[in-house]
Amino acid sequence: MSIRVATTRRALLGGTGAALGLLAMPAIVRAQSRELIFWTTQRAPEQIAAYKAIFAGFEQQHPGTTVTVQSFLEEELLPKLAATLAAGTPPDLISHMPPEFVMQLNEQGLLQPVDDIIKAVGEGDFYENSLELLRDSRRGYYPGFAIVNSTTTGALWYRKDLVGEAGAAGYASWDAMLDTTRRTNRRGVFGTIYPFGKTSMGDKLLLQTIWRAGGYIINPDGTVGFNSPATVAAFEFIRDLLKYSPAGSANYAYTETVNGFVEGRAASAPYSGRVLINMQAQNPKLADAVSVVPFPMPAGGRDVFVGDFQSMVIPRAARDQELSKRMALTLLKTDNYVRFLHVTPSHNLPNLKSVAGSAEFAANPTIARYRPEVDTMIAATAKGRSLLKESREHATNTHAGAILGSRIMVEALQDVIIGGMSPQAAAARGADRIAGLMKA
Amino acid sequence: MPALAAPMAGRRRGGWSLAARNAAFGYVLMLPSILFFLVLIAYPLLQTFWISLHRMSTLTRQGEFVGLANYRALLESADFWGAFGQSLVWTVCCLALQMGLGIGFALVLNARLTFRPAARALVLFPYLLSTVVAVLVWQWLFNDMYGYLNYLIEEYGLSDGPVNWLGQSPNAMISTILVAGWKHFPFVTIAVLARLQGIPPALYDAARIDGASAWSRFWDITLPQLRPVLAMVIILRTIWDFKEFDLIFMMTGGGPRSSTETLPLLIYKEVFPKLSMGSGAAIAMVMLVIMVAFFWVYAGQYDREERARSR
Repeated sequence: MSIRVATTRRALLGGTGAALGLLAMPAIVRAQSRELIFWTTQRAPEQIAAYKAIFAGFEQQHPGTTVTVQSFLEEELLPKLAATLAAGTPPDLISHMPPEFVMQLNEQGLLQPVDDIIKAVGEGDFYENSLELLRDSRRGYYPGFAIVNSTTTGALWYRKDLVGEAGAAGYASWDAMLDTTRRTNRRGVFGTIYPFGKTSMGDKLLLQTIWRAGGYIINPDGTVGFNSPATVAAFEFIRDLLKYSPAGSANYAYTETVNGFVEGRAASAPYSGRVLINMQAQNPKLADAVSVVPFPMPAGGRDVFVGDFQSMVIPRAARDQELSKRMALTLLKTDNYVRFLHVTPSHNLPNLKSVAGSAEFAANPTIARYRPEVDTMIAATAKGRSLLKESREHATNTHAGAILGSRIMVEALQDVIIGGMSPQAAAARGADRIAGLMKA
Repeated sequence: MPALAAPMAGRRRGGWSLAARNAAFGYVLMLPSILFFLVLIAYPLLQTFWISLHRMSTLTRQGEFVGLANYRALLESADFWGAFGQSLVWTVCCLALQMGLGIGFALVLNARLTFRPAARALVLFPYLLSTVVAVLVWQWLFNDMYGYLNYLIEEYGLSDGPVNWLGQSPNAMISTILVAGWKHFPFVTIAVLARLQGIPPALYDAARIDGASAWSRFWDITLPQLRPVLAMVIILRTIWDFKEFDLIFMMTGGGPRSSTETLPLLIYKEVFPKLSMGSGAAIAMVMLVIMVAFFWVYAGQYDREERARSR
């Protein structure tokens, strides 16, 4: 028995139309809603959760919008950005981008000015060093602004108990640091950790050591200053210091440094305020035994630190600039900003003076417990600079990102420590390589 | 002859002979493959070569035509020759280690073992592990403060202090090669084991009757039987090792100094931190030429051997 189904042409066409309509529904829905992409280099699960909670509020205020949070390593930013720019799908807002990348991208015309955002928040509320750094003075606008004002290298954490037992002088100068490091070095505990791997931390710490010795990488007149007596002095100081640092320091970056100190394997180490969070969670018995001082400098040095200035930028190719700006302002609203900062209290420090001095920011158990340490770090970040502009007299160095990324500076230090090259020869070789990069 | 005239007319339909139409149909069938080749191989290759003739930003993909200037700069660069040397050391050592371990394990797993299925599954473990996880595990083992290797070394008094596995030259290169050998040898094991199982046992029986020693049986029966599969494995592993990036980048970042900086890491350094797409593309083209040359020599040698064997 066969069943015949009578189908008219009209019914067939109608059915086909309905099926195609159903298939097209997701695209129609997508076209009506706006999916915004937010990139960040802050990857801890709690930080992502805080971002999602903040943007949930944004989505409620902007019906039809959804915000997707994507997090990457700092090193992944440029490759991912290159890929999305080529595909025509750049993110709508990027947070925690190194300032050197910001000016590198700005030089290629890839960023949208953010002056509106800075004005809406209040220009005077931002720390001056961060604004000065990220100003395109040639074209007269800000291509980005620092969302936090922290330093990973400016703070030197130390064990009060070990320094006290050793009867050491502390860390007020290079000589004092060398002496204290020698005295606190013992079996199972290193005097210090000085990371000099080919990493962002290795580069920044060396840069800061050279600055604090009074040197520059690029002189204010634009010539290469890497082969100066200050660089040689920095190399010699580090070489002495490394006698009391773990053998693997040549491969260390952020993680190894903070872990070594928090686990109680070193009497001192440079790092950001994350030490306090990790110490309370992982090694609470030492939580009251730690404190912080500014990383020392020799007599006659320059009191300046390497600041992180992780920045917020809007790609010029972002689909809706207005919405991107509103997203940025949402993150800067005091309650949201403090909420984000409190996820990693004392690690990400505020770049708004009103927040740094606010009761809301202070109302956190970690910040309250370690208020003197937090104040020491805030004072250090206010003196922070970047390779972008080594002093007020410097013009913006748009090759800063390439110099840092190619790890020429820390490689010169490795030439001395691992390669056995003389500090003078290593500084000269490094200077030649930097000069070559500046010409490219 | 009307009966014959009709088919003849069919064969010349539209002025095309049957042979021509068959050929055209053949080309139509090949068209998807040709299109895939053009889109997925020829276009990217030509595009890379074209980019290598420009001074071009990675982000804007705009720049000026500079001809062969990127190649000239490359050949004059000490960084390039250093990375080239390191790439050769890396490839040859990795290959030797992987082949040695791979063949050794395949021979063991081909023998009658009590837990052979479990052992075969276990030997695949490093190959199945993602590179990121493998690197993290090994970095932990190599760590000079908490690493288990250093703990054992100090515990058994083999050294006064911890060994600097990754922060000293040539330790870093040796350690990274060991990790690569451990990670990739199962590929060789799988391929060789599959071939070993296909060798007729009668060959070994006959050799035993003739009084051949274990070494003679391996040299005169096993190895010749493995030759085709070893050739393919060597070619594939050489290509993969020569362009290895993620494992080295995550283990050492090319350091200490530039002691583990191979050509793929140099490409990365040019294309991303320096945003110099043109010079990165030039290195990639040079790498391609080296690989093609290697493949050419090897394929020619293999072809000659095969012809000699079939004579």
